[in-house]
Order: sequence, then C-alpha cells, then structure tokens
Amino acid sequence: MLSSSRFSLKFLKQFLCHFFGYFFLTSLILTICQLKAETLEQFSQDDWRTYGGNLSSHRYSSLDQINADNFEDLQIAWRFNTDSLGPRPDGLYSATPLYVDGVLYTTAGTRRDVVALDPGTGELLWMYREDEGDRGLAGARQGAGRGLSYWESSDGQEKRLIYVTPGYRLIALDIHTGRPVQDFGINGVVDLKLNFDQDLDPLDNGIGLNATPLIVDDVVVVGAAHRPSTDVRSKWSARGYVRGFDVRTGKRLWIFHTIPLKGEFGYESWEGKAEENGNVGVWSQMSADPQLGLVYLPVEMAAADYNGYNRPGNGLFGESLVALDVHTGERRWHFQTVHHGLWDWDLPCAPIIFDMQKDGKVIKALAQPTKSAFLFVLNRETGDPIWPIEELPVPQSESKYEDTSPTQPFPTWPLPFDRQGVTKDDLNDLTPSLRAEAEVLVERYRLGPIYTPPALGRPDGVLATLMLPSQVGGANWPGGSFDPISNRLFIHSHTAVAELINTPEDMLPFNRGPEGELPELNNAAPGLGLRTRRGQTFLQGTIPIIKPPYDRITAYDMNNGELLWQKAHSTTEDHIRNNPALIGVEGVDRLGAYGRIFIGTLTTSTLLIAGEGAVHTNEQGQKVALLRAYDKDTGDDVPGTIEMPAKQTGSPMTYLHKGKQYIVLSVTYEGEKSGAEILAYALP
Amino acid sequence: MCNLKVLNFIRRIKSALALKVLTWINLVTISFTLLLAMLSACVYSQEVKFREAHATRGQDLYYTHCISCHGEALSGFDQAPALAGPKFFSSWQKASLQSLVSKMSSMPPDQPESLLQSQLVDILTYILWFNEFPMGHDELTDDPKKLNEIYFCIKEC
Repeated sequence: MLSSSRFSLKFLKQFLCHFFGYFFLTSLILTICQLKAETLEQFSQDDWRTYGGNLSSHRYSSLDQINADNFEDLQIAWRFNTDSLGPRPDGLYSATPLYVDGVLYTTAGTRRDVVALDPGTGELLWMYREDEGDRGLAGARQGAGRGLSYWESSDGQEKRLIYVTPGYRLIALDIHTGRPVQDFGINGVVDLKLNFDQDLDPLDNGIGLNATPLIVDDVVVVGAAHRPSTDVRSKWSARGYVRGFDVRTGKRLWIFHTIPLKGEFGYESWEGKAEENGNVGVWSQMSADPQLGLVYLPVEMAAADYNGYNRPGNGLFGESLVALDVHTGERRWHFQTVHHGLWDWDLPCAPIIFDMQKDGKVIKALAQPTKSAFLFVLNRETGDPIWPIEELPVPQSESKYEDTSPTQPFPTWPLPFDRQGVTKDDLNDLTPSLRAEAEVLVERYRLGPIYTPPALGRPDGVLATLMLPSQVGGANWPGGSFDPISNRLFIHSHTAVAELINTPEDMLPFNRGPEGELPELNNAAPGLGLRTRRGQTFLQGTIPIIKPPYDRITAYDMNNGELLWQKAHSTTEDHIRNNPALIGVEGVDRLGAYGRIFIGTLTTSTLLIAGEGAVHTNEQGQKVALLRAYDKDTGDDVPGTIEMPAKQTGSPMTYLHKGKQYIVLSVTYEGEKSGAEILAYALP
Repeated sequence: MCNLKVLNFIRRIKSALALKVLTWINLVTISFTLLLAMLSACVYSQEVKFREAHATRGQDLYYTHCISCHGEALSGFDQAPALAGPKFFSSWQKASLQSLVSKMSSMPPDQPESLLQSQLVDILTYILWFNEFPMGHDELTDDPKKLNEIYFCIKEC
C-alpha cells in the first residue's frame, strides 16, 4: 500500500508536468529561418582541431549558417550520454570535442574513454578504454577531462589523437583505428610519472592532469595539476614541471622547472626555500604562436593556497605567464601576475593571441584573463606590457611569518572585467531589508581592497576576510573567445565572494619531523568538537550578501582596450528567485548564477554563444539551463533562447558537416539526477 | 496565493496508515498547486534530528576522507561538488537522504564502497550541521529504509 500510494502520487505529478509541458511546447511559434551567405574565406574553418579552436585559443568559427535570424529554431540533433563510460557518472563534464575530417572525437566518462562519433547522428564509431586500476582512481584530476589533442604529419599520412589519462599517462592513438600507436613511448604510452626530475610513487595521488596537451609542430607540451592545496602541508607535494615530448616517439625533448633548480633563473626568488616547495604546475590550457616558435604557459601558484609561511619571496614562476621556445623548452620571457600569492588566484586559462592594430602598427600581442578579473595584455614576443602595468602598494599581513609582497601588479588598461575587493557599497541592496541584513552580517567579516591578505585568527576577531573575486574567479578554466575579424575579446566571469580563512594566531612555520613525517594539524585533530562553519554569506538563507549580477560576459575592443559592453548572463536561480524576500521586486529575473559555474563562450562570424552554468525551473516546471546568443557589437540578446536539460560545463564548439552547421557542448546534471552528456544542436 | 520558499531538510517518517491518508491529501494539494501555479512541490513534516556527537564523528570522518577534494568550507573543487549552501539544497531538492548517502558510497573515488553505511550517515550528519540544521537529542537513523523517507523538500505556504 505504501509503495502504491507513492507510485500514484508520482505518476500524477509526472502526468501533470508532462501535460502542461507539451501544452507549452506545442504553443511555441516557430519562425522560418533565413540563412546568410556571408563568408570570410581567410578565416574559413570547417574543422575544430584543438580545444581552443586554434593554437591562439580563439574559440572562433567563420561559420554563419546559424545566425541571429534562426538561432531560436535550433533543435537537439543528437545527444550522447556518457554515464556508462566509467565506474560512476561524471560530476563536471568539461570536454570540448574535436572535429577532424568529418568525425567528432572527444573524451567521455569518468574512465576518460576516447570516443569517435558520427557528427551528424552521434553514433559511436569507436571507443578506446584504459582501465588503470588503482593508479587511475588515485589521480589528482578525475573525470573525462577537457578532451583531446590532434596531430598530423606534414604529408598528412599520419594522424594521431593524444591525451592524458586520469592516472597521468600520455597516450597516442591512431585516429582511424582508435588503437595505441606502437612506436610512441612503450606500446603507445608514456608514463608521465617517470623521467620527471623527481621521484614519484606510481600510486601517488598528488599529481595528474585534466587539461589537453598542446601540440605545436611535432612537440607535445604537457602540464601538471594537483589536488586542492588549502592544507599547509601540501607544500611537500609533487612539482608541476612542464615537459615537451616528441609527437612521433614519445621521447622527452625538454623539461621546464616551474620551481627553478639551484643555478637556474628564478631560484633566488624562493629565498632559500625552493627545494622545500611543490605544486606550481600548469593545469590550465596553453596557447602557442608557431611562427615565433613560442608556447605560453599560464602557471599556477605555489602551495599552500592561502598561507605562504614556508615560501618566502615571490616564488617564480608561480602565477606567471611564461613563454618558452617550444622546441627547446628555453625560457624567453615571463610575467608574474601575482607576487607571493595568498588568494589562490592561479592563472586559469589559455592566453588569447592576436595581432593588435594600434597607431597604424601591428603589434603581436596576447591577453591573459585572470581569476582576479584583470586582463594582462602583453607583447607576445617580449612579454612587455602593451599598456602600463603599475606596481602599487597593497595591504600587508598582520603575521610576522608571512612575507607579504609590498606591491602587486595593476594593469592600468583595460579595465577589469569584474568587481574587485569588497566595501559596504558592494552589499546587496535589492530591497531595504536585505541591505539592512547585509550590513549586520558583514560585521563578522573583514573587508578590503583586492589583495587584502588573510587575517590572523583571534578569539574575538573576524570570522574571515571577504574575498572578491573568489578563488573560482573572475575567469576560470574555460577562458575567453575572440573574433579575429573585429579584434574583439569576450570573457565570462563570476561575481562571488569567498571567505578567505584566517591564519591561526598560534601557527608557526613548520617542518617535517626527524623521520620525514608530516606535522599534525590542529584543524584535523579529532576530539576538538565541531569547528567553525564557513560559507554563511547569504541573506534570508539563499540570497548572496553582495549585489548582482553574479555572472556576466564582457566584451573588449582589443585594438584600444575599450570595454565595449558587459551583461548579466544567466537566469536567476530558483533558490534566489523564489526567496520570499524578493516577491514583488522588479528586475530580478536575470541576476546571474552564483558561485561555482564554468562557462566558455563560442564566437562565430555572426554570434556570441554560451549556455548557462546553472539550472532554473521553467514555466512548465522543468529544470532547464538556457543556451543564449548575443549580438557581438552590442551584447543584446538574440531573439529566442534554447532550453537545455542540464547546465553547460564543457565549452561549446561548432562545425559544418554535410552542409549543416552544428553546435556541440557538454552538459552535466546535478543532485540526484547526476551524469553528463554531449548535446548537438542544429537547425531543422 | 501560494509561493515557494526553501526549507531545511524535512523529515517524513510516519506510520503506514498515516502515510496513506497524508499521501492522498498531499496528492490533492499538489494537483491543485500544479494546476494553479505550474509548479511542482513535495510535502514535509518535522525537522531532522541529530546529536552534536553524531556530527562530530562525521566531522572526523570528513576530515579524513573528504576534505582534500570538497574542502574545509564544503565548497567543492573540480569534480567534487559543493556540499553546502543554497545551490547544494537546490540541486538535491525532493531527493531522499538515502539517495545522497548512496551517492556518497562511491566516495572517495580512490576507495569506493570503503565506508560503512553508518559512517556515511555520520558524514551526512556533519553536512547537515554545516548547513545549519538544528541539533537535537536524537541520533539520525542509519536505516536505509527510514532514510528513504526523509527528503530534501520545498515547502508550500
């Protein structure tokens, strides 16, 4: 009886939802599309051969079949569910597929299988699966990863797909058969935990990679990623050196020590502690300029994320953009974006490479978006700033053990693409009562400008420092996109606060024990009772303490650095929109999605396209996330939005297959309905 | 005029008879709600009860098995979702506590199925405490059948 009653209830609810869902769907008016025939041959690109669309990371396509006149007519052409490809469903499917010679390739599922799909139907053509056992399960970066890299020989006879497994092995597959290339490494595999200038246990879980390698000419450049490094003991983690491998043989060609060895440039910046520190990997995507022979590495920070007691100095090449000769690994130049970081503001994404038209000259430039919402614009040949970047004084730590940098670099131009630092002017004022609540709540926290360091924890002190942008950004791993015709750059960013945890007042610099053992931490010791809660920065339980919008897209003219437009991107999430405190409040339908979302944009010759990173409930009671398109000149919404069944997690790409343009992206479900799939959209 | 507001987890353990009656009442209520507001909702009863000692046990387990990916603030990282905050509640709306416990059983990724049901419930209790559910004097059951009857829920007013 119990189960049948529940069944009846469930059935009726489903029936009603479906009935009204179909009612609304069938009442939609479909318009007839008009295809534009404009093409720009010089940027014609039917294929999509790298994660970022090209080595410049433009995420751009000259295709124009899908445009403002017909965007609202897009329909799901096919979908590919990845849940069965691995021991559990993917929790954040971040891959962008490649389209090469009429076939779609990507990684999928938590085993990070490689699949070849029919681009017109989604049919599985072949699959390659590696079961790495405990090694794979112990990898620092799980899940499907961001996808594959493609290489073909100059005569076009050899074509390979290359990727890094969860267990940190580099594998080369024959693109036609999906089988490992036997003359690459050992039977198609290079063990990345070997030949690494450090000794690592194969089952060590401290290192891995979910980014795609970058292939420039015949060199495969591979970075390294680590587990989260909030624990101060993580300074003893593996080092995130970057290596170049021969794409034909898998032989290591060079290694770049992101933490310099004694005698190497930058060693002194660690003030004698270089040997005692780890991390400093490149977990983001990279870019390259093959004509200059340079690869650009966005390097992460040193461990630990919020405590620098054991890493005095600026710690090169932490949080630096480094240009290497791709054939030798020799450093050409570097630019450090954060000195002695205490905020987890790693460089998160590939720099965008472009040729700037300035004062009648062409300047080889690049633009590096950051988590801290700056856009560092540099000459990519020399590393010199295009516009002045000033070293300005910043707040200093109260701890005598923290070697806070006295200054940090501030680009004078372009303007930041998101808010930086927190004052009372940033508090939520959607209603007077929310503003009043925010003013009370904020008394628990320390406020300050960007680069305010962690406070010392005292019994009567503040709970934490409010940090804006948060450690999620600003920008994050999806990075931006770029229109090379108009030299316009587009970047999605978050506006969210994080609690920058206090440094315990009694904490001292620490060392390993006499037997090399790690020190115990008070905060992990059992028997101390429940600790302080964090993350309580919401009003009425669900509304962020700061003003909206909570995610946005910004457009720049990269010839002069002008910010062209900026716009809230996502529909307001249910838990904010339905809060009783906002009943009757106008203008709250598009406040943006708050917090941990990851949105990459796609630029075509006609549109800027991006999905939402969070779901909301539509009029039919369905959880949906919208696929949106914008006018590139104005940021105006293109008529119509497409309802997706889950949030965008993998940045969209596009291709032309048998005369039809497709837009493909990865989405991930959350909560009880977990899992991920690839969605392909096309015109009817 | 009915509106939605987010509540904490809601407990719904009832006798079979009471459940039958209430379920039909709920059925009618929800049907009208759907018709009028095009919104779906589920019903609720009393608050979850758990003891501080239970959450403390869960904290110890969390710091041993979970913190390296989900973080001290339960804010998540990469593949590891956030386990606190309104977005977490929203994504688990209408799901039972046991469905979350079942998902937790595949964790940590390098040692799936290694934690006992009782340990997973300990960690769940810590998550509840972290999300400011009020503590009481009762232990939260670790019986999967009973946990299947406790839901994340939206409340109609």
